[in-house]
Amino acid sequence: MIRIRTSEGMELEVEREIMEQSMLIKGLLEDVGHSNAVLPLPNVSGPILAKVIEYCRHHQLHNRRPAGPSGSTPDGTPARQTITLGDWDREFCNVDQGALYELILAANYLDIKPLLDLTCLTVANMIKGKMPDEIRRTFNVKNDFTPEEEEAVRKENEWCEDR
Amino acid sequence: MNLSNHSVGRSFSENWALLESGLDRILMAFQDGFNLSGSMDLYTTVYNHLTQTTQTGFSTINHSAGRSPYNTMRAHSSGLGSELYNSLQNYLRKRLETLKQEANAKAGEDLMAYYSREWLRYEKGARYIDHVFRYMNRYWVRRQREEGRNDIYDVYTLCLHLWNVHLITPLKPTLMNTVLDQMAAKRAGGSIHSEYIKELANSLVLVSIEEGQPGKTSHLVYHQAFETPFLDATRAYYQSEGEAFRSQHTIVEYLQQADTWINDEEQWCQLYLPQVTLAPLRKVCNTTLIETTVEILNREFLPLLRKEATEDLRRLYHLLARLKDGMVPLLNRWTTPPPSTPRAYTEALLRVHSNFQTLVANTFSNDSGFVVELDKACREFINRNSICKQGDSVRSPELLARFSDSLLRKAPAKAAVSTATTSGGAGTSDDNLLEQQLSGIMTVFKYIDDKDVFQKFYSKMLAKRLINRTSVSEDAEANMISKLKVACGHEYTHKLQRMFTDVGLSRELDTGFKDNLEAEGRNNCPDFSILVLSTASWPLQPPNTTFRVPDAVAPLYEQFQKYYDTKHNGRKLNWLFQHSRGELRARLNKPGVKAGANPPYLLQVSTYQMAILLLFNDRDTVTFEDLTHLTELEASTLINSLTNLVKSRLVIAHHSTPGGNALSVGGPGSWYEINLGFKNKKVRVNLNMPVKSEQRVEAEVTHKTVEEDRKWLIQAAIVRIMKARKQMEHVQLVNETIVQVQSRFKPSVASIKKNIDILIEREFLERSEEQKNTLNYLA
Repeated sequence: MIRIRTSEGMELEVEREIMEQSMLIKGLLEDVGHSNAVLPLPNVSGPILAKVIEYCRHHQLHNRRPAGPSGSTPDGTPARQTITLGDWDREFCNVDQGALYELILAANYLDIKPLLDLTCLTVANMIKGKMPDEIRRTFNVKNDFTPEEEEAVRKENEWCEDR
Repeated sequence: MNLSNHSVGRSFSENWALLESGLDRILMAFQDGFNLSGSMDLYTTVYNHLTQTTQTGFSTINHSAGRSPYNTMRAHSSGLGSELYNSLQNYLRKRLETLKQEANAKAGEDLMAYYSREWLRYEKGARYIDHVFRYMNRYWVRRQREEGRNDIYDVYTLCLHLWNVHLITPLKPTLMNTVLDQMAAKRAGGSIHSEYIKELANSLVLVSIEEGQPGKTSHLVYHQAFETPFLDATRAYYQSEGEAFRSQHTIVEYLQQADTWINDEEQWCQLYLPQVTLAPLRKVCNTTLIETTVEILNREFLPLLRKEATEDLRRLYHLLARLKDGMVPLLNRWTTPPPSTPRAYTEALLRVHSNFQTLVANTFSNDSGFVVELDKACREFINRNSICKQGDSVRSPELLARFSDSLLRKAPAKAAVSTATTSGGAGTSDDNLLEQQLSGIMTVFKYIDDKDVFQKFYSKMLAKRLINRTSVSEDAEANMISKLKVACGHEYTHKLQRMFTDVGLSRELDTGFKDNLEAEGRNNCPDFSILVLSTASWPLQPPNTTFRVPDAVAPLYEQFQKYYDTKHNGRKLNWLFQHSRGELRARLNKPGVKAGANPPYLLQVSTYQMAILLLFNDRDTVTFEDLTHLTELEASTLINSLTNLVKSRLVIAHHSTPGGNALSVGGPGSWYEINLGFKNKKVRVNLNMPVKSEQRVEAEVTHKTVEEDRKWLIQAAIVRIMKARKQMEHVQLVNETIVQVQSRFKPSVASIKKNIDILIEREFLERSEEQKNTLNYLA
């Protein structure tokens, strides 16, 4: 068991194997060896850490390949495939946007690749097939382009639009 | 304390100051320990530094303002990464320069101690630093390398790389000199700190970074800086030391010394040097200490063996076994010159085998390595000794088969004709001895490569034993066959077993025929027995001469033919007169001498000889031409049959040309007379002896049929394989074929290729059109 301190200063105990899915924690524990010291995670808040632990625990039990772009087409370019998420994965990511971004950041910070893949994929699925305005609405992005700029960008990207 | 934001928004110099103190702690105050929260602080600092953005307010998600992944990516390509990387690099350079300054003030063992201590600390620190800077490795370094910046390394590799540049390169010469001095001291019996050398070697291995593949060592720096000078020094040392020792001590003492030296070197190497050095070091030891003295060592072998100095032998074996083919001259020495008679030859092989086997058992406690080694050596010398090299024929299996024949054959009745082959009196050997000898044959047999040649000769000689009824006992024969069956399987002995069945069936046929004759009331016929043998199982050829059955037995001949036809409809009988024989009772009396003064002789003759001798019932002399005419025999067969008759002086030869030898057979124009004054010590005279020239021809023919049979075996194997695989590459097919037939013999690649060509010609196979070296099976 290791003791972890969240950004709020809250301490909790987690099984070492579960937390070692974070490459960061795994590496640090290797360096220090056995330690009873508290591991501070100043960039992760309590609720998010709880989600991360939930994921890691599930992932360890089921140990299946996480959703994520894998494999490549015969000519070597990454396969542009539609990945359907498992029920558990979808349910897991069914959180508000703020929490989702926190999760992405935590996964990146803690270096948990499967979780990072899963969360980023969820965001990607939110973008897919939407018009710029819709995307702006979804992500609450202010349109700071002038109409001229917008026209220029559209022209630039004309080639990739479906007609 | 708001940990989450402790480094966010700080300037780079503030962050760097924090990191620098952390690095100082890692690299210099290591012993004070390092805790999780310290590492975590440093990691978080690196993370926050790399994920900060120069632009604020880009994202509207307030909680993670300025640190969205998108901004992260921007940051990676911006100067934030290189700023950090360069600072780290400069820091490490400065640190290493300090270390170098300190090292320069030291020399000899002090320097070694200093180097290995600092290296250990630095290497461990490098791993910590690598973990702390993990986030930079993951994004910034990776991206840089993906963009082709091969001069940028992940942090651990960077640490090693800088160590190589700042410490190894300038210190190398001094360090290596110290190492070599220390090695010399160690070899002279002094004690040194081997761990220092170990750490040095280890550091050199680790800094040999494979270009483009961090984390994988190329051993390049190690090879150049350490291994090469180390091996050179080792070679020079043992060259001079070995020579000096040899000149002052006996070979036995040298054996011990060399053994010790080599063991010491290997042990030390395994303990302190990287794995890669063991093989080249062994080679250096082998060349300097063993190869140079291999001649002397070989000469020493026999005396040691005689003295039964097992400890020394063990050492000798150890040393020689280290060389490739080291044992071969030793084994050859033991066997030269191998005797060429079958018995002596086989016994010599067996002696060698059992000698070494006891040696292996006693000295090396049957260590599996030695057993394998012995098997390899035995196979080598049994199949390729100087006897086998005579001609291209394979002599070992032939001689072995001949020896087994001599064991299983009754000694001929006449002591005078028992040759060296049977001089041991195989016929009289009791069962135990016979069993032992047969097992001995099997021991050698296991090593024979060309088992098919043995089979050929064995079946030939078995046929002779069965036909001539000269087998020692049926039990012994069955015993031998079951031994062969165990060794080679059912198929190998199938034909041999069939031969026994035939002999049994013939016995029944014989009685049936005799009963039949009696039933017909014909009792005045000569005694008669017959063997009816199936062509497929017996290695017998039809006679190559015509022959007229002598009148005296002709009725019997026809009678049997008729009897057999009624018994087995549709079977064809080929009479093998050349293998037939008979007994004649000869009453030879000179005119004027009282009848009965000379006892009637019982002449054991071949059927051909019988035909010749029966002619003399009607006349006293006969010319060569009449002989050919009346017996219808080919001239060469006739001469062969006559030779023994003339040699035994039963028949006197008169040559057309004067001066011809009375004991030799002449050609056309000569004439022959029965010797009425024939005298022999024995009443039963065997005239049916094979002529020497016949034997030699027979051996050659057998070897030739072996060749022929191999062709079929190879072709059958190829077809079997191709039938299963349908399509196969040439090389693969050749390999599979070798695997399939090697229980019988070792085929040459050339012969397999030839047979593949034959099969292509006969349209069993075809070459694939797309791929040149692929073959297709044609059903």
